[in-house]
Amino acid sequence: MRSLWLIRRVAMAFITVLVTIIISWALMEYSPESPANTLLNNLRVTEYSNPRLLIEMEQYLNTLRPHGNPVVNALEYIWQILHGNMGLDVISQIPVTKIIATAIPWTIFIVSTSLLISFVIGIRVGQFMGYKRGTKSDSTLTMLFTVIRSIPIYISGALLLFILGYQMRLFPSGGAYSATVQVGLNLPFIESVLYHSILPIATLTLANLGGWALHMRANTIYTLGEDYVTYAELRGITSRQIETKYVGRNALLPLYTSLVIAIGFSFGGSVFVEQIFSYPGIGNLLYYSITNNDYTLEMGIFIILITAVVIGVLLADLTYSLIDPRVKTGD
Amino acid sequence: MSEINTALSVEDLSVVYRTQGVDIAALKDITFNVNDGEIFGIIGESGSGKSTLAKAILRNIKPPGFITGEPRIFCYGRNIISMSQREFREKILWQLISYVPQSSLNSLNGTMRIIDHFYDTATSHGISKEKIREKALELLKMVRLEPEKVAVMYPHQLSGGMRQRVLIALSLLLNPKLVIMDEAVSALDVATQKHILDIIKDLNKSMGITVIFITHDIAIAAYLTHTIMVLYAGEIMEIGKTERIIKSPYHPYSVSLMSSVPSIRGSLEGVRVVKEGYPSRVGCPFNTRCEYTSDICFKNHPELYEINSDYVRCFNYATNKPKGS
Amino acid sequence: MKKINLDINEGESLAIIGESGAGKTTLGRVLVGLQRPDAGEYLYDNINVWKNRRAMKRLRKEVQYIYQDPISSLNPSKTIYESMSFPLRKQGLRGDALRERVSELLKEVGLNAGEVESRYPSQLSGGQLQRVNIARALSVNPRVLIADEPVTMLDASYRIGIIDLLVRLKKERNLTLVFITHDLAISRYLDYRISGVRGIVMYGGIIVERGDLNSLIKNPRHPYSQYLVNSTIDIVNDGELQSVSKSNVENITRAEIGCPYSTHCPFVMEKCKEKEPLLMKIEENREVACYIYGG
Repeated sequence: MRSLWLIRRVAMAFITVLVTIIISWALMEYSPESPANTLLNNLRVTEYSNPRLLIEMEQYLNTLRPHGNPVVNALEYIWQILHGNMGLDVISQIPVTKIIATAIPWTIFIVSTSLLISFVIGIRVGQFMGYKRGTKSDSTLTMLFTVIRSIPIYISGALLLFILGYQMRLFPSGGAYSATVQVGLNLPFIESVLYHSILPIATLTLANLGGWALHMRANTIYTLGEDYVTYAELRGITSRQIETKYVGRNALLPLYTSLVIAIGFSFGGSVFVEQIFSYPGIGNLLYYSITNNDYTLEMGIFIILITAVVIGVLLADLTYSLIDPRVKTGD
Repeated sequence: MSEINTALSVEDLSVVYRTQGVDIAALKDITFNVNDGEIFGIIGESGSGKSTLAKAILRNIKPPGFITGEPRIFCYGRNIISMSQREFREKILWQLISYVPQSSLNSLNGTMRIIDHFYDTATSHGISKEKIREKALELLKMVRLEPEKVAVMYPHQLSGGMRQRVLIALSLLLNPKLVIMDEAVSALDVATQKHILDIIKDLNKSMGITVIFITHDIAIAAYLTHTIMVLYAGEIMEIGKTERIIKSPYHPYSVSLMSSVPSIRGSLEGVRVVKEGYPSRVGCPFNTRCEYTSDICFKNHPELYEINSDYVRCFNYATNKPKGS
Repeated sequence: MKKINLDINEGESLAIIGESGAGKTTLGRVLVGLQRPDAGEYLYDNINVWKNRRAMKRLRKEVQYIYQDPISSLNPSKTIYESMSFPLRKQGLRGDALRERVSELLKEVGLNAGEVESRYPSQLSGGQLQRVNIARALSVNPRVLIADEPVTMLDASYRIGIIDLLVRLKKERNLTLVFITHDLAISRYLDYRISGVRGIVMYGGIIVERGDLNSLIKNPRHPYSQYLVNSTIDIVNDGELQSVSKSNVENITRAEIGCPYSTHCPFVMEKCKEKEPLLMKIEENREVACYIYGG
């Protein structure tokens, strides 16, 4: 029963990824824009514009475009993807997988760090607010978080950059590390990386913090009203044990799913931040590929983002029963 | 009251619920004694204040609820209302008085195994897990559960009746002398009810545990208890021996309660409809539903009058002397 | 619930008795047309309602259901008057006629219209709310009332009043009354007031015994009915009760094959574990599904 459910669930996730690949592929295929157009437009305005060269260039680029039956093309593309081959980048002719591989660690670094920080602080503060519900400190924090949460990330990011980066010159204004350090496992490089990551991580943390805190606050208040908390108090259980085992655990459990799913979604969530801080992650890459109609790279990034989301949801689903004894997977 | 040991004595206990500056009385001047070794029934309907009474004794009244006046609550000679909350938690809860919650509530933490609830209770009172394990298993066995199997289960894996038995076992963990049970069998099937009531009777008889049993079910109170206290609108209407109250209740409200419960074996001729209505705020609280009223019932508030060492709050018994005089 | 054969005659009273999980509420839902039987058919006025839309429409109107929880069956944001007038508006009543009808119906169930009409459900007692629910059921002039544990959630002192009301309405309007309950004493009182109530005892989704309610309670024949009667705590206290049950474990596990009670029955035989016994007549007005009595 359980293994059958597991197989079904994994198969569903796989099909979801396939379907989204096909849809994105179709959008690309029938899009009026093409990398050739962009490239040619660029060439036309430059001083090297030579009509003959342009025509030759156009002919060359057209040979790169997929021809023949679109269904066959799609199947061929998917077949290649399944073998880990995302093709060559149209413009640079470097394998897409290689480009993504150099960008993705940077994204994972800032995204996971900020997620972790915001989650840990968020649930701590949220539980505090829940315990202090109705007091002045609770209402002040609630208002503060509500305001922070409603500021779009490109505004808060730009503000941080402007004030701390340009005005006060406390932090670098962009990049992942300083051009003067030697890349590798050495102290100056690591220091530089950490220093450059502070602003992007702070922006992402700020964006997520309010959500976790307010969510945890609501869960804590709900849990505090549960009969088992009253009964634990009546049993003389120490308030410390009640706070962790009774209130904390039960209020935290529903957040677990949100956290795992958030990890999946966060790969795509750093586009703005990476753009603002010129951070060389996958979000920045996505922005670049879209503006250049670099469709092989675009597709490659899409697939990575989609797969991350689907895997996140799948993991949340499969592992929830491990942490919550009340849920039996597959029932 | 000197020869018989008193398990619990409550004097002048009042509780109000404060909403938007207005106090609504939940309990008014509650005074009663529970003797050591008896099963003391508190019966009342919704809104009578019976659960508030349990919470007040256990010092768990939370805002908007407040205890007013200067009540005195003694449990086996110890003044449990004047001591610090910390001392009460450490020394009194579960070691002298314990509690069994309503069966319909989800009183067990769904993320913890059954045995962990026993461990938590013990460690909070300075007793180690190892020392308490055997006692916990023994108690589970006593309430007719398979100890080793149930100990490692989670609450949702047990039926309602089994969970209720776990709660009873848990209440006995630190050898309390007095157990307060609040609607402990109400949501259970009739057959399960009887099993659990028999367990409670047995605990009372063999271990001498004093039980305060709060219920709205008169048949259950009749089956289980030795003494009954009838509450209405936060006030004591009558206190007396169970047998007498069931057969010949004094207070008109008790009379109507007894006659509103049909029997499955006895005669049904005495079954009678009670007039519906809300408690009165002026005079006797029952004057809106009572069939034996006179003018005074609408003007003055009746005292508790003593009749043959029982008590009744009704002007029809005013020739008897008021309690405490 | 499985293989239930049941006829209910016009104007009769039927008590369906069982504990939680016995299938009595499912049976009630089938009777009111809320649940389609997986197999078999349900005839109302000799027409299969699941094959005839008009018959279903008629059933929905003529068979009214009264729920256990009086408060959740009323919209908390609507006054009693609004809740009451909704079904009446559908019948085309407006203005004074509507107001008059509402107060007439409330009066019929023993409420003072002026006192309750403008209130919200949270401002009424459980007993009053259940009366409102009954009044609302009456507003479509039903022929059948199905009351599912109508007094279980009420305070003891209000219960008899509601039963008396149902009895009076049944007599005055010549209704067919189906009374679903786990409470033997209450069903016995119903029989005392109406007399001739037919009783059905359900366990594990089947009917284990049926007959005249009064004699059924006095002299139960199926081992489960005996167990139920004997373990019910009565206000008339006759000392220690005898439980006719093999084990101390409550009835949570039920046999999947054979008689559903075979796992708990003190008289269990090999046969009981193999094949489900059928209801058979053992005496005048009494049918029992148990191999003790042959079959």
